Amino acid sequence: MAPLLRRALFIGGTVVVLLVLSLVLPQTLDPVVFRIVMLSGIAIIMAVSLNLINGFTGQFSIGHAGFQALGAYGAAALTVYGHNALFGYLPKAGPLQPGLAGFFQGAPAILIAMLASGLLAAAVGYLVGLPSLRLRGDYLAIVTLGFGEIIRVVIENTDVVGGPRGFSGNVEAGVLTPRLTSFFWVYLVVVLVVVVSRNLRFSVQGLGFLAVREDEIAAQAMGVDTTRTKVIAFVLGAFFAGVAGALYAHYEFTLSPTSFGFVRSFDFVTMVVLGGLGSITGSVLAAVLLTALPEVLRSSLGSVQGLDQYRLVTYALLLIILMIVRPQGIFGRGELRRDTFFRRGKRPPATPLTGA
Amino acid sequence: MAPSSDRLVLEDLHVYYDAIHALRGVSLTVSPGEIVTLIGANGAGKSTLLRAISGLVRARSGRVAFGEADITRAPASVIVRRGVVHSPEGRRIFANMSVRENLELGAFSRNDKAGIARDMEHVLTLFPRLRERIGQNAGTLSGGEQQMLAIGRALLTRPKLLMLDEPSLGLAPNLEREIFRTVENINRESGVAVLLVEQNAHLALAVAHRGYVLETGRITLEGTARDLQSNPEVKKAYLGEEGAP
Amino acid sequence: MSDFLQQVVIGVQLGSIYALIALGYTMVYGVLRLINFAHGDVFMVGAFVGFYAARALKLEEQPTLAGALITLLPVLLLAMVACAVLGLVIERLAYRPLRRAPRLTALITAIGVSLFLENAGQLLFGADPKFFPSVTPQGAGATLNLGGATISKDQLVLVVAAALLMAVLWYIVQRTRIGRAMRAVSHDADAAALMGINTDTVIAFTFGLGAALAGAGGMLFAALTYAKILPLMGIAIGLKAFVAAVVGGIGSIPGAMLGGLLMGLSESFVRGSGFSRWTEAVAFVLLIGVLLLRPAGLLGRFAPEKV
Repeated sequence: MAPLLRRALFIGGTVVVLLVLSLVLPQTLDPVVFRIVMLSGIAIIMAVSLNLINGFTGQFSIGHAGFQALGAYGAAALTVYGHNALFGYLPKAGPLQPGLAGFFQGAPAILIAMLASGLLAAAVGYLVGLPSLRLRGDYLAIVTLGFGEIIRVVIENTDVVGGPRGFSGNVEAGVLTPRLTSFFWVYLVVVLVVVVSRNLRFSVQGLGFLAVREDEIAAQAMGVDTTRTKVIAFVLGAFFAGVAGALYAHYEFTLSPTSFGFVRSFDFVTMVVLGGLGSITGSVLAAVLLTALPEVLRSSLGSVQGLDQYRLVTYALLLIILMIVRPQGIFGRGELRRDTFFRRGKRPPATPLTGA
Repeated sequence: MAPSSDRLVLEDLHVYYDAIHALRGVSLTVSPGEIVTLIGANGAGKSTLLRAISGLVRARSGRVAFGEADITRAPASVIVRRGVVHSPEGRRIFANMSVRENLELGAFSRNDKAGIARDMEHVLTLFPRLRERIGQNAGTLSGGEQQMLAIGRALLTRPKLLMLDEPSLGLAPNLEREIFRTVENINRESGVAVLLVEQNAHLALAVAHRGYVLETGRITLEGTARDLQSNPEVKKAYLGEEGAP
Repeated sequence: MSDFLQQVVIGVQLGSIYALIALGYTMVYGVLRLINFAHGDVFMVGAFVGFYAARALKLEEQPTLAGALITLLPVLLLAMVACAVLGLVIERLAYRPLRRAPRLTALITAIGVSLFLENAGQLLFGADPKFFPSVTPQGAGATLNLGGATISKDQLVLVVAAALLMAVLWYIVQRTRIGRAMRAVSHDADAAALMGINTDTVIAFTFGLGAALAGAGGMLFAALTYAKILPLMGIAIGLKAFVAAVVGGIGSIPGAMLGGLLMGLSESFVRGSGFSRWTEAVAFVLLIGVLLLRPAGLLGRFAPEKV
């Protein structure tokens, strides 16, 4: 009974804490800081879900932004074009009601949107993953890269979602993408993806994952169904990327296909590798770092002529140097990582939240 | 092929793969003209030992010396030039190149045209099958022929010490014996020392002068081939029932 | 018919540029199993070196084609040498320290090098497009007619130059000592080292050679198609050239040439048939199609992954 009670307490506690923070933070935090907090949360979901694929099973997926794009556009199209049929109670444009009322007003819509976009991305992930996971590591990387680019081009050529101009809603009907994403939903999914990753890591299934990463042939010999394991990781990763897309779509005013290109995918891969392949903590912290750093630099230095280039040159150099000095990532390193993991496992899994 | 007075000496060699301690203080010697065999179960570290000697993996501590030279930290390409040659497990021939190109690659680090031609001729006499297939793609050779090519290629580096990793792997018994006879011949004719890693302890001890038993990264037994053949533990663990008198 | 031929001409021209870049991807992947994402940016550097060299030498339009070729040759060589040096420096500083690191780490480093070159390029060269001066004679007789299709002499020179460079490469790889070492390392680096081949030297040489070809591609592209020279011009072209290398079978030199040509042709036909907005996706549809049918690419061998 005790574990069940503990689980109930954990879930209840998380919901209450997140809800309170969700009502308080937007009022108290500086808007720039709050924006960083929100974008960091979405980046965490992307990085941790990619870590499921790249870190746990050692496959290279470098098209993760493609799944996010699918989720984002799918969810936005659903809430905009399904406005009359499903979400007529939402305002056609502008913010939800303030406070708790707004939360309950938006909850069903964002839940449906997240679930739908997650399933859409997962289904596409399955279709892409099943045939291509038989390919060698690098080829999988290339296929995922290509898949991400195809998604982008398809979006650019789909006029109902704005094509190359971007999508902010059905302008003729006056329905704009509703602003459904609140702190609560972003960080609920953050907790969810971390808990799911952690449980997978320690379950029998998770041992299968690690075995695939360490030595695929040996894992096969020990009876681990490597293709199945890889497909599960891939589909789960895609699911969460889709959900992150839904959150992103209902946070930003406008979606633009160019913000989901392969350069964006590289950002997520960088987060995972920088954090330490396979380390959930590492992915979380790297996601926050890489989201906050450019924003902080931008807001503190302003937009002096040419400064952006210096910033990016510095960023690139730092990346190269970090990889050379610390090829295992900042937070993940050989045995130390495993030790950290076991210690971490005994604490409540919500700790990574401190990263935000 | 050059007889020499260079002795291979390993002192307390430790090798790690990440966290795995693969070799735990191995010391051994191979004297000029000797055939020494290394027997042990799968995963005992036999291949790792050869890879550490030939420079493919780096030892964390300990020392490898060949003659006067300390080769512990030398890169693989330099170690070959010193006359220590490793014919790796699984033959690892260049399948997309011709038999001739494979053999010529063996002579990559040499400049003595006449010497290379002489050694080439010698190898082709040793393995007439290779002469028949000289222009063929090495990938089309049978397993036995590939093994001959791997040994021939190693001989063209002009070794003083030839290290063979599982030369009989996957070969039919008659081919197995043929390969071992050739190894014996090479050793007898030209005085090349041989360090032989082999699953088939019967065959290995039959051709070797001395042997070492490697268990989970440590040398647990050493002695002359004859002593090892009659050692009850070796009989039980590596020679099976057939080994019993 | 003439329309068809015209697309073929454009496709072959584009394809030879892709092929020149794809060769570098494929050779480096062969010896190092690294997708060198910075390679497309080396192409960009080649274009800029060509542009600045042309400006410094005050190149102008020549009355004869032969004169133009003699004028362009030193610029081409300079771009190739500069890029070869750049390739060597990148390999030495960014990739060699990671020889034993996880492959994903090296991939991230490659992405970092690519970002560095792009942004350093923007700092150094500015974001305004630059144009190579026209050196080949432009007046009457600058174009030939072939069964209704128009071929400019520029196009002809570009394709012939690319073909010559590839012939030289083929000679180096198949007929020289270092070429044989490259093939050996590409097939099995450990076994090559055991033959006394210094794999570090071979890898560095391969980087230099690949970068020289990309530099040549950049210079030829700038000088003969009069395209905009921009710090970010290497991203899209590089990505497509990389896809071409994979389609042809990464690690395979003839595969890179074939893949490049195929990429150029399919792009030209898609653009010519009114689906120009989909051009960007063509490369990737081709890629995924080929990989699913022939996982190692058209001319690639399917080598089992060594653990």
